[in-house]
Amino acid sequence: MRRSEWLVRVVLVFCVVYGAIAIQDRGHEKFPFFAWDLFSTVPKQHNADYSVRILQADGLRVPLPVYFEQTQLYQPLKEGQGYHALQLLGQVTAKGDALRAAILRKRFEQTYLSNVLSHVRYQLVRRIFDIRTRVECLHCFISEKVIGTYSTR
Amino acid sequence: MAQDATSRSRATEPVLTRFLERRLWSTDSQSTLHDSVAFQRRSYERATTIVRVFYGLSILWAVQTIAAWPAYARLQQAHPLWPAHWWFDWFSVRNGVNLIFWAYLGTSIVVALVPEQRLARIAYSFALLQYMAFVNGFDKINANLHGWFFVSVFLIFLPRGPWPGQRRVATRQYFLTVIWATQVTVLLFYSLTGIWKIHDGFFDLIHGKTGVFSFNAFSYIVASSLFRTNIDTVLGHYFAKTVFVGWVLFIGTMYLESSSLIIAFRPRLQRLWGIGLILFHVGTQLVMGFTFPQNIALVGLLLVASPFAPDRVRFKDAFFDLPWVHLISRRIAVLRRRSTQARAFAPASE
Repeated sequence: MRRSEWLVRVVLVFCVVYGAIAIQDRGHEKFPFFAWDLFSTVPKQHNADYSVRILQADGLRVPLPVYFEQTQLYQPLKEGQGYHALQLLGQVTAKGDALRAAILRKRFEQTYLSNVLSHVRYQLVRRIFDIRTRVECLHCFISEKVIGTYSTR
Repeated sequence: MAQDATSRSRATEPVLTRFLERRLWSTDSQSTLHDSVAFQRRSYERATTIVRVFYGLSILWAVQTIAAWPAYARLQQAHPLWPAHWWFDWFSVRNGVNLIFWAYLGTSIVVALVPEQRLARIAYSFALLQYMAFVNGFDKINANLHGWFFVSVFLIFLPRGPWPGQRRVATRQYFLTVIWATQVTVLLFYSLTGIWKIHDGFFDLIHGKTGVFSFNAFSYIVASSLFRTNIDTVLGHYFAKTVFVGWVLFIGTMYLESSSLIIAFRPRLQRLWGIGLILFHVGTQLVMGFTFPQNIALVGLLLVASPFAPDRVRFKDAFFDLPWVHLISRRIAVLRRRSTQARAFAPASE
Protein backbone atom coordinates (compact mmCIF):
# COMPACT_ATOMS: atom_id res chain seq x y z
CA MET A 1 0.00 0.00 0.00
CA ARG A 2 2.99 2.27 0.56
CA ARG A 3 3.80 2.54 -3.15
CA SER A 4 0.17 3.31 -3.98
CA GLU A 5 0.07 6.13 -1.43
CA TRP A 6 3.30 7.60 -2.79
CA LEU A 7 1.93 7.44 -6.31
CA VAL A 8 -1.26 9.23 -5.24
CA ARG A 9 0.95 11.96 -3.76
CA VAL A 10 2.97 12.17 -6.99
CA VAL A 11 -0.27 12.53 -8.97
CA LEU A 12 -1.45 15.34 -6.71
CA VAL A 13 1.88 17.18 -7.02
CA PHE A 14 1.79 16.63 -10.79
CA CYS A 15 -1.69 18.21 -11.04
CA VAL A 16 -0.66 21.23 -8.96
CA VAL A 17 2.64 21.76 -10.81
CA TYR A 18 1.04 21.24 -14.23
CA GLY A 19 -1.75 23.67 -13.38
CA ALA A 20 0.76 26.27 -12.17
CA ILE A 21 2.84 25.94 -15.34
CA ALA A 22 -0.30 26.16 -17.50
CA ILE A 23 -1.33 29.39 -15.75
CA GLN A 24 2.12 30.94 -15.94
CA ASP A 25 3.01 29.97 -19.49
CA ARG A 26 -0.33 30.30 -21.18
CA GLY A 27 0.32 31.21 -24.79
CA HIS A 28 4.09 30.58 -24.46
CA GLU A 29 4.19 26.85 -23.96
CA LYS A 30 7.11 25.33 -22.08
CA PHE A 31 7.40 22.05 -23.95
CA PRO A 32 6.40 19.30 -23.12
CA PHE A 33 3.79 21.12 -21.03
CA PHE A 34 0.78 22.47 -22.88
CA ALA A 35 -1.65 24.96 -21.38
CA TRP A 36 -4.68 23.45 -23.18
CA ASP A 37 -6.00 26.90 -23.94
CA LEU A 38 -8.12 25.96 -26.96
CA PHE A 39 -10.87 28.16 -28.42
CA SER A 40 -11.29 30.21 -25.25
CA THR A 41 -11.35 33.51 -27.12
CA VAL A 42 -13.85 34.44 -29.81
CA PRO A 43 -12.65 36.18 -32.99
CA LYS A 44 -14.19 39.58 -33.71
CA GLN A 45 -16.71 39.86 -36.52
CA HIS A 46 -14.47 42.33 -38.37
CA ASN A 47 -11.04 40.81 -38.32
CA ALA A 48 -7.66 40.84 -40.06
CA ASP A 49 -5.14 38.20 -41.02
CA TYR A 50 -2.01 37.77 -43.11
CA SER A 51 -1.39 35.48 -46.04
CA VAL A 52 0.96 34.99 -48.94
CA ARG A 53 -0.33 35.66 -52.47
CA ILE A 54 1.68 33.62 -54.96
CA LEU A 55 2.22 35.53 -58.23
CA GLN A 56 4.53 33.13 -59.98
CA ALA A 57 5.80 29.61 -59.20
CA ASP A 58 7.19 26.56 -60.95
CA GLY A 59 5.35 23.42 -59.92
CA LEU A 60 2.01 24.90 -58.92
CA ARG A 61 -1.07 23.51 -60.65
CA VAL A 62 -3.63 26.16 -59.76
CA PRO A 63 -4.36 29.43 -61.62
CA LEU A 64 -2.26 32.38 -60.45
CA PRO A 65 -2.31 34.65 -58.48
CA VAL A 66 -3.48 32.52 -55.60
CA TYR A 67 -3.50 32.83 -51.81
CA PHE A 68 -1.50 30.23 -49.93
CA GLU A 69 -4.52 28.60 -48.24
CA GLN A 70 -5.98 27.86 -51.71
CA THR A 71 -2.85 26.18 -53.08
CA GLN A 72 -3.42 22.90 -51.22
CA LEU A 73 0.24 23.03 -50.20
CA TYR A 74 -0.55 22.51 -46.53
CA GLN A 75 0.59 19.10 -45.37
CA PRO A 76 -2.00 17.16 -43.37
CA LEU A 77 -1.86 18.07 -39.67
CA LYS A 78 0.35 21.08 -40.45
CA GLU A 79 -2.42 23.49 -41.50
CA GLY A 80 -2.48 25.14 -38.09
CA GLN A 81 1.28 25.44 -37.98
CA GLY A 82 1.39 26.99 -41.46
CA TYR A 83 -1.35 29.48 -40.60
CA HIS A 84 0.41 30.42 -37.38
CA ALA A 85 3.72 30.87 -39.22
CA LEU A 86 2.04 33.27 -41.67
CA GLN A 87 0.43 35.34 -38.91
CA LEU A 88 3.73 35.68 -37.07
CA LEU A 89 5.56 36.61 -40.27
CA GLY A 90 2.91 39.23 -41.10
CA GLN A 91 2.90 40.76 -37.63
CA VAL A 92 6.70 40.99 -37.40
CA THR A 93 7.01 42.44 -40.93
CA ALA A 94 4.25 44.98 -40.28
CA LYS A 95 6.04 46.07 -37.08
CA GLY A 96 9.18 46.77 -39.13
CA ASP A 97 11.46 44.27 -37.36
CA ALA A 98 13.45 43.61 -40.54
CA LEU A 99 15.97 41.10 -39.15
CA ARG A 100 13.40 38.87 -37.45
CA ALA A 101 11.09 39.17 -40.45
CA ALA A 102 13.88 37.98 -42.76
CA ILE A 103 14.55 34.96 -40.51
CA LEU A 104 10.85 34.05 -40.35
CA ARG A 105 10.40 34.54 -44.09
CA LYS A 106 13.32 32.25 -44.89
CA ARG A 107 11.93 29.66 -42.51
CA PHE A 108 8.47 29.89 -44.05
CA GLU A 109 9.87 29.59 -47.58
CA GLN A 110 11.97 26.53 -46.67
CA THR A 111 9.22 24.74 -44.78
CA TYR A 112 6.18 25.48 -46.93
CA LEU A 113 7.30 26.76 -50.37
CA SER A 114 10.75 25.58 -51.50
CA ASN A 115 9.95 22.04 -50.50
CA VAL A 116 7.53 21.66 -53.40
CA LEU A 117 7.92 24.78 -55.60
CA SER A 118 10.76 26.66 -57.23
CA HIS A 119 11.22 30.24 -58.49
CA VAL A 120 8.36 31.56 -56.39
CA ARG A 121 7.43 35.25 -56.47
CA TYR A 122 4.93 36.20 -53.83
CA GLN A 123 3.38 39.05 -51.87
CA LEU A 124 2.77 39.21 -48.13
CA VAL A 125 -0.75 40.64 -47.76
CA ARG A 126 -2.81 41.93 -44.81
CA ARG A 127 -6.53 41.31 -45.32
CA ILE A 128 -9.46 42.80 -43.45
CA PHE A 129 -12.71 40.85 -43.61
CA ASP A 130 -16.12 40.18 -42.13
CA ILE A 131 -16.28 36.66 -40.69
CA ARG A 132 -19.86 36.06 -41.84
CA THR A 133 -19.16 37.21 -45.41
CA ARG A 134 -15.89 35.33 -45.71
CA VAL A 135 -17.27 32.00 -44.65
CA GLU A 136 -19.61 32.24 -47.66
CA CYS A 137 -17.03 33.70 -50.04
CA LEU A 138 -13.38 32.90 -49.42
CA HIS A 139 -12.07 35.76 -51.61
CA CYS A 140 -14.33 38.49 -50.24
CA PHE A 141 -12.26 40.96 -48.25
CA ILE A 142 -13.10 44.46 -47.08
CA SER A 143 -9.56 45.47 -47.96
CA GLU A 144 -6.21 43.96 -48.95
CA LYS A 145 -2.86 45.63 -48.31
CA VAL A 146 0.42 44.39 -49.79
CA ILE A 147 3.18 44.57 -47.17
CA GLY A 148 6.02 43.33 -49.35
CA THR A 149 6.93 41.39 -52.48
CA TYR A 150 9.57 38.66 -52.34
CA SER A 151 10.97 35.82 -54.40
CA THR A 152 12.74 32.54 -53.82
CA ARG A 153 15.42 30.92 -55.98
CA MET B 1 16.26 3.17 15.20
CA ALA B 2 12.76 2.17 16.28
CA GLN B 3 11.75 5.83 16.15
CA ASP B 4 13.11 6.06 12.58
CA ALA B 5 11.05 3.05 11.53
CA THR B 6 7.92 4.53 13.13
CA SER B 7 8.35 7.91 11.43
CA ARG B 8 9.01 6.15 8.11
CA SER B 9 5.84 4.07 8.37
CA ARG B 10 3.86 7.18 9.36
CA ALA B 11 5.19 8.98 6.28
CA THR B 12 3.70 6.29 4.04
CA GLU B 13 0.36 5.85 5.80
CA PRO B 14 -2.38 6.19 3.17
CA VAL B 15 -3.47 9.57 4.54
CA LEU B 16 -4.04 11.19 1.18
CA THR B 17 -5.68 8.09 -0.33
CA ARG B 18 -8.14 7.92 2.57
CA PHE B 19 -8.84 11.64 2.38
CA LEU B 20 -9.62 11.43 -1.37
CA GLU B 21 -11.76 8.33 -0.83
CA ARG B 22 -13.77 10.01 1.89
CA ARG B 23 -14.19 13.40 0.20
CA LEU B 24 -14.35 12.68 -3.53
CA TRP B 25 -14.71 8.98 -4.29
CA SER B 26 -18.25 7.82 -5.02
CA THR B 27 -19.10 4.31 -6.15
CA ASP B 28 -20.87 1.08 -5.13
CA SER B 29 -19.36 -0.51 -2.05
CA GLN B 30 -18.77 -4.27 -2.12
CA SER B 31 -20.76 -6.16 0.48
CA THR B 32 -18.06 -8.63 1.55
CA LEU B 33 -14.27 -8.78 1.60
CA HIS B 34 -14.44 -11.65 -0.88
CA ASP B 35 -16.45 -9.46 -3.29
CA SER B 36 -13.94 -6.63 -2.89
CA VAL B 37 -11.00 -8.89 -3.73
CA ALA B 38 -12.88 -10.42 -6.68
CA PHE B 39 -13.71 -6.94 -8.03
CA GLN B 40 -10.09 -5.85 -7.62
CA ARG B 41 -8.86 -8.95 -9.46
CA ARG B 42 -11.30 -8.33 -12.32
CA SER B 43 -10.25 -4.64 -12.50
CA TYR B 44 -6.58 -5.66 -12.51
CA GLU B 45 -7.06 -8.10 -15.38
CA ARG B 46 -8.85 -5.43 -17.42
CA ALA B 47 -6.11 -2.91 -16.59
CA THR B 48 -3.33 -5.19 -17.88
CA THR B 49 -5.25 -5.56 -21.16
CA ILE B 50 -5.64 -1.77 -21.40
CA VAL B 51 -1.87 -1.33 -21.04
CA ARG B 52 -1.19 -3.87 -23.79
CA VAL B 53 -3.69 -2.18 -26.13
CA PHE B 54 -2.11 1.21 -25.32
CA TYR B 55 1.28 0.00 -26.51
CA GLY B 56 -0.28 -1.77 -29.49
CA LEU B 57 -1.82 1.52 -30.60
CA SER B 58 1.53 3.22 -30.08
CA ILE B 59 2.80 1.28 -33.10
CA LEU B 60 -0.10 2.63 -35.15
CA TRP B 61 0.73 6.27 -34.33
CA ALA B 62 4.39 5.64 -35.12
CA VAL B 63 3.58 3.97 -38.45
CA GLN B 64 1.36 6.92 -39.40
CA THR B 65 4.38 9.26 -39.18
CA ILE B 66 6.22 7.39 -41.93
CA ALA B 67 4.28 9.30 -44.62
CA ALA B 68 5.80 12.62 -43.53
CA TRP B 69 9.28 11.21 -42.89
CA PRO B 70 10.83 11.80 -46.38
CA ALA B 71 9.57 15.41 -46.50
CA TYR B 72 11.12 16.13 -43.10
CA ALA B 73 14.39 14.46 -44.11
CA ARG B 74 14.58 16.69 -47.22
CA LEU B 75 14.45 19.91 -45.17
CA GLN B 76 17.53 22.09 -45.30
CA GLN B 77 17.02 23.41 -41.79
CA ALA B 78 15.18 22.24 -38.69
CA HIS B 79 14.53 24.00 -35.38
CA PRO B 80 13.37 21.30 -32.99
CA LEU B 81 12.35 22.10 -29.44
CA TRP B 82 14.87 21.65 -26.63
CA PRO B 83 14.63 17.86 -26.01
CA ALA B 84 15.69 17.06 -29.58
CA HIS B 85 17.78 20.13 -30.31
CA TRP B 86 21.15 18.62 -29.57
CA TRP B 87 20.82 15.89 -32.25
CA PHE B 88 20.81 18.62 -34.86
CA ASP B 89 23.95 20.25 -33.45
CA TRP B 90 25.79 16.96 -33.96
CA PHE B 91 24.24 15.54 -37.13
CA SER B 92 22.84 16.81 -40.43
CA VAL B 93 19.06 17.38 -40.66
CA ARG B 94 18.68 14.17 -42.68
CA ASN B 95 20.59 12.05 -40.14
CA GLY B 96 18.87 13.70 -37.18
CA VAL B 97 15.43 13.08 -38.68
CA ASN B 98 16.30 9.48 -39.57
CA LEU B 99 17.62 8.83 -36.08
CA ILE B 100 14.50 10.20 -34.37
CA PHE B 101 12.01 8.48 -36.68
CA TRP B 102 13.80 5.10 -36.51
CA ALA B 103 14.01 5.35 -32.71
CA TYR B 104 10.32 6.25 -32.43
CA LEU B 105 9.23 3.42 -34.70
CA GLY B 106 11.61 0.88 -33.19
CA THR B 107 10.81 1.57 -29.54
CA SER B 108 7.06 1.50 -30.24
CA ILE B 109 7.40 -2.03 -31.67
CA VAL B 110 9.67 -3.21 -28.84
CA VAL B 111 7.42 -1.86 -26.08
CA ALA B 112 4.34 -3.45 -27.66
CA LEU B 113 6.21 -6.78 -27.61
CA VAL B 114 7.52 -6.50 -24.05
CA PRO B 115 5.38 -3.95 -22.16
CA GLU B 116 6.35 -5.57 -18.85
CA GLN B 117 9.95 -4.37 -19.29
CA ARG B 118 10.37 -0.97 -17.65
CA LEU B 119 13.40 -0.18 -19.81
CA ALA B 120 11.29 -0.63 -22.96
CA ARG B 121 8.64 1.72 -21.52
CA ILE B 122 11.27 4.34 -20.68
CA ALA B 123 12.84 4.05 -24.15
CA TYR B 124 9.43 4.50 -25.81
CA SER B 125 8.58 7.61 -23.78
CA PHE B 126 11.99 9.09 -24.54
CA ALA B 127 11.71 8.42 -28.29
CA LEU B 128 8.16 9.80 -28.34
CA LEU B 129 9.39 12.97 -26.63
CA GLN B 130 12.14 13.30 -29.26
CA TYR B 131 9.63 12.89 -32.07
CA MET B 132 7.23 15.43 -30.53
CA ALA B 133 10.09 17.90 -29.97
CA PHE B 134 11.01 17.63 -33.64
CA VAL B 135 7.58 17.88 -35.28
CA ASN B 136 6.44 20.68 -32.95
CA GLY B 137 9.48 22.79 -33.79
CA PHE B 138 7.63 24.30 -36.73
CA ASP B 139 6.01 27.56 -35.62
CA LYS B 140 3.28 26.12 -33.40
CA ILE B 141 2.96 23.32 -30.87
CA ASN B 142 0.22 20.80 -31.71
CA ALA B 143 -1.30 19.06 -28.71
CA ASN B 144 -2.33 15.78 -30.33
CA LEU B 145 0.36 13.66 -28.65
CA HIS B 146 0.78 15.41 -25.30
CA GLY B 147 -1.82 13.26 -23.51
CA TRP B 148 -0.32 10.07 -24.97
CA PHE B 149 3.15 11.13 -23.84
CA PHE B 150 2.20 11.91 -20.23
CA VAL B 151 0.22 8.67 -19.98
CA SER B 152 3.29 6.78 -21.24
CA VAL B 153 5.37 8.52 -18.56
CA PHE B 154 3.00 7.38 -15.80
CA LEU B 155 3.00 3.85 -17.22
CA ILE B 156 6.74 3.70 -16.55
CA PHE B 157 5.77 3.37 -12.87
CA LEU B 158 3.95 0.05 -13.50
CA PRO B 159 5.25 -2.83 -11.36
CA ARG B 160 7.64 -5.43 -12.68
CA GLY B 161 6.17 -8.37 -14.60
CA PRO B 162 5.01 -10.98 -15.08
CA TRP B 163 1.59 -9.35 -14.83
CA PRO B 164 -0.82 -12.24 -15.54
CA GLY B 165 -2.05 -14.09 -12.49
CA GLN B 166 -0.59 -11.65 -9.98
CA ARG B 167 -1.43 -12.98 -6.51
CA ARG B 168 -0.38 -10.08 -4.29
CA VAL B 169 -3.29 -7.78 -3.50
CA ALA B 170 -0.92 -4.83 -2.83
CA THR B 171 0.80 -5.23 -6.22
CA ARG B 172 -2.54 -5.38 -8.00
CA GLN B 173 -3.65 -2.29 -6.08
CA TYR B 174 -0.48 -0.45 -7.08
CA PHE B 175 -1.01 -1.41 -10.73
CA LEU B 176 -4.56 -0.02 -10.56
CA THR B 177 -3.29 3.17 -8.90
CA VAL B 178 -0.99 3.71 -11.90
CA ILE B 179 -3.99 3.35 -14.23
CA TRP B 180 -5.94 5.77 -12.05
CA ALA B 181 -2.99 8.21 -12.35
CA THR B 182 -3.26 8.03 -16.15
CA GLN B 183 -7.01 8.74 -15.91
CA VAL B 184 -6.30 11.80 -13.76
CA THR B 185 -3.71 13.02 -16.28
CA VAL B 186 -6.03 12.80 -19.27
CA LEU B 187 -9.01 14.25 -17.40
CA LEU B 188 -6.86 17.10 -16.04
CA PHE B 189 -6.10 18.17 -19.60
CA TYR B 190 -9.79 18.26 -20.50
CA SER B 191 -10.55 20.20 -17.34
CA LEU B 192 -7.89 22.78 -18.18
CA THR B 193 -9.42 23.31 -21.63
CA GLY B 194 -12.85 23.89 -20.10
CA ILE B 195 -11.59 26.07 -17.25
CA TRP B 196 -9.77 28.43 -19.66
CA LYS B 197 -12.97 28.84 -21.67
CA ILE B 198 -15.04 29.66 -18.58
CA HIS B 199 -12.32 31.96 -17.20
CA ASP B 200 -12.00 33.97 -20.42
CA GLY B 201 -15.73 33.94 -21.05
CA PHE B 202 -16.38 35.34 -17.60
CA PHE B 203 -13.90 38.20 -18.07
CA ASP B 204 -15.22 38.96 -21.57
CA LEU B 205 -18.71 39.12 -20.07
CA ILE B 206 -17.55 41.62 -17.43
CA HIS B 207 -15.81 43.77 -20.06
CA GLY B 208 -18.79 43.61 -22.41
CA LYS B 209 -16.85 41.81 -25.14
CA THR B 210 -17.98 38.91 -27.34
CA GLY B 211 -16.83 35.88 -25.37
CA VAL B 212 -17.56 32.17 -25.27
CA PHE B 213 -20.89 32.74 -23.50
CA SER B 214 -22.18 34.97 -26.34
CA PHE B 215 -24.73 33.48 -28.72
CA ASN B 216 -22.42 34.19 -31.69
CA ALA B 217 -19.31 32.68 -30.12
CA PHE B 218 -19.42 29.21 -31.61
CA SER B 219 -20.44 30.33 -35.09
CA TYR B 220 -17.55 32.87 -35.19
CA ILE B 221 -15.05 30.27 -33.97
CA VAL B 222 -16.24 27.75 -36.57
CA ALA B 223 -16.27 30.30 -39.40
CA SER B 224 -12.80 31.54 -38.60
CA SER B 225 -11.40 28.02 -38.39
CA LEU B 226 -12.96 27.07 -41.75
CA PHE B 227 -11.46 29.81 -43.87
CA ARG B 228 -8.07 29.86 -42.14
CA THR B 229 -6.96 26.76 -43.96
CA ASN B 230 -9.76 26.49 -46.52
CA ILE B 231 -10.95 23.10 -45.33
CA ASP B 232 -14.28 21.57 -46.19
CA THR B 233 -16.21 19.96 -43.35
CA VAL B 234 -19.49 18.05 -43.04
CA LEU B 235 -21.30 20.45 -40.69
CA GLY B 236 -19.01 23.50 -40.63
CA HIS B 237 -21.11 25.79 -42.80
CA TYR B 238 -24.29 24.89 -40.91
CA PHE B 239 -22.79 25.87 -37.55
CA ALA B 240 -21.11 28.97 -39.01
CA LYS B 241 -24.58 30.25 -39.88
CA THR B 242 -26.72 28.73 -37.11
CA VAL B 243 -26.32 30.36 -33.73
CA PHE B 244 -28.57 28.71 -31.12
CA VAL B 245 -27.76 25.01 -31.63
CA GLY B 246 -24.03 25.80 -31.61
CA TRP B 247 -24.40 27.89 -28.44
CA VAL B 248 -26.16 25.05 -26.58
CA LEU B 249 -23.53 22.51 -27.67
CA PHE B 250 -20.68 24.87 -26.77
CA ILE B 251 -22.06 25.48 -23.26
CA GLY B 252 -22.52 21.71 -22.84
CA THR B 253 -18.93 21.17 -23.97
CA MET B 254 -17.70 23.63 -21.34
CA TYR B 255 -19.50 21.67 -18.60
CA LEU B 256 -18.18 18.36 -19.96
CA GLU B 257 -14.60 19.58 -20.23
CA SER B 258 -14.26 21.65 -17.07
CA SER B 259 -15.77 18.97 -14.78
CA SER B 260 -13.76 16.12 -16.26
CA LEU B 261 -11.21 15.82 -13.46
CA ILE B 262 -13.94 14.89 -10.97
CA ILE B 263 -14.79 11.85 -13.13
CA ALA B 264 -11.53 10.20 -12.01
CA PHE B 265 -13.35 9.79 -8.64
CA ARG B 266 -16.70 8.65 -10.12
CA PRO B 267 -16.29 5.16 -11.62
CA ARG B 268 -20.04 4.84 -12.23
CA LEU B 269 -19.87 7.79 -14.63
CA GLN B 270 -16.62 6.96 -16.41
CA ARG B 271 -18.13 5.08 -19.36
CA LEU B 272 -20.80 7.69 -19.96
CA TRP B 273 -18.28 10.55 -19.67
CA GLY B 274 -15.91 8.75 -22.01
CA ILE B 275 -18.65 8.47 -24.63
CA GLY B 276 -19.44 12.18 -24.10
CA LEU B 277 -15.82 13.17 -24.69
CA ILE B 278 -15.56 10.94 -27.76
CA LEU B 279 -18.74 12.51 -29.17
CA PHE B 280 -17.15 15.92 -28.56
CA HIS B 281 -14.13 14.85 -30.65
CA VAL B 282 -16.40 13.45 -33.36
CA GLY B 283 -18.26 16.77 -33.36
CA THR B 284 -15.01 18.72 -33.70
CA GLN B 285 -14.11 16.64 -36.75
CA LEU B 286 -17.57 17.07 -38.33
CA VAL B 287 -17.70 20.82 -37.71
CA MET B 288 -14.12 22.08 -37.73
CA GLY B 289 -12.32 19.40 -39.71
CA PHE B 290 -9.73 18.29 -37.18
CA THR B 291 -9.56 15.96 -34.23
CA PHE B 292 -7.07 14.33 -31.86
CA PRO B 293 -7.25 10.57 -32.61
CA GLN B 294 -4.77 9.82 -29.83
CA ASN B 295 -7.08 11.49 -27.30
CA ILE B 296 -10.06 9.52 -28.60
CA ALA B 297 -8.05 6.33 -28.09
CA LEU B 298 -7.03 7.43 -24.58
CA VAL B 299 -10.60 8.24 -23.58
CA GLY B 300 -11.81 4.97 -25.11
CA LEU B 301 -9.22 2.91 -23.25
CA LEU B 302 -9.17 4.66 -19.89
CA LEU B 303 -12.80 5.74 -19.51
CA VAL B 304 -15.09 3.76 -21.83
CA ALA B 305 -13.17 0.56 -21.01
CA SER B 306 -12.43 1.77 -17.46
CA PRO B 307 -11.30 -1.06 -15.18
CA PHE B 308 -12.98 0.71 -12.25
CA ALA B 309 -16.45 1.02 -13.80
CA PRO B 310 -18.99 -1.44 -12.37
CA ASP B 311 -20.72 -3.73 -14.88
CA ARG B 312 -24.16 -2.36 -14.05
CA VAL B 313 -24.97 1.20 -13.09
CA ARG B 314 -28.38 2.41 -11.97
CA PHE B 315 -29.52 5.61 -13.67
CA LYS B 316 -30.28 7.24 -10.30
CA ASP B 317 -26.76 6.55 -8.96
CA ALA B 318 -25.14 7.87 -12.13
CA PHE B 319 -27.29 11.01 -12.03
CA PHE B 320 -26.38 11.79 -8.41
CA ASP B 321 -22.68 11.24 -9.24
CA LEU B 322 -22.74 14.02 -11.85
CA PRO B 323 -20.38 16.92 -11.07
CA TRP B 324 -22.23 19.71 -9.20
CA VAL B 325 -25.35 17.48 -8.83
CA HIS B 326 -23.29 15.35 -6.44
CA LEU B 327 -22.18 18.41 -4.49
CA ILE B 328 -25.70 19.83 -4.20
CA SER B 329 -27.31 16.47 -3.31
CA ARG B 330 -24.65 15.86 -0.65
CA ARG B 331 -25.27 19.30 0.85
CA ILE B 332 -29.04 18.71 0.88
CA ALA B 333 -28.50 15.31 2.57
CA VAL B 334 -26.35 16.96 5.29
CA LEU B 335 -28.97 19.68 5.89
CA ARG B 336 -31.74 17.07 6.09
CA ARG B 337 -29.77 14.98 8.58
CA ARG B 338 -29.12 18.03 10.73
CA SER B 339 -32.75 19.07 10.71
CA THR B 340 -33.85 15.51 11.63
CA GLN B 341 -31.35 15.45 14.50
CA ALA B 342 -32.47 18.90 15.65
CA ARG B 343 -36.11 17.75 15.66
CA ALA B 344 -35.23 14.57 17.57
CA PHE B 345 -33.47 16.50 20.33
CA ALA B 346 -35.88 19.45 20.47
CA PRO B 347 -38.04 19.65 23.63
CA ALA B 348 -41.64 18.80 23.00
CA SER B 349 -43.70 21.98 22.65
CA GLU B 350 -46.65 22.43 24.96
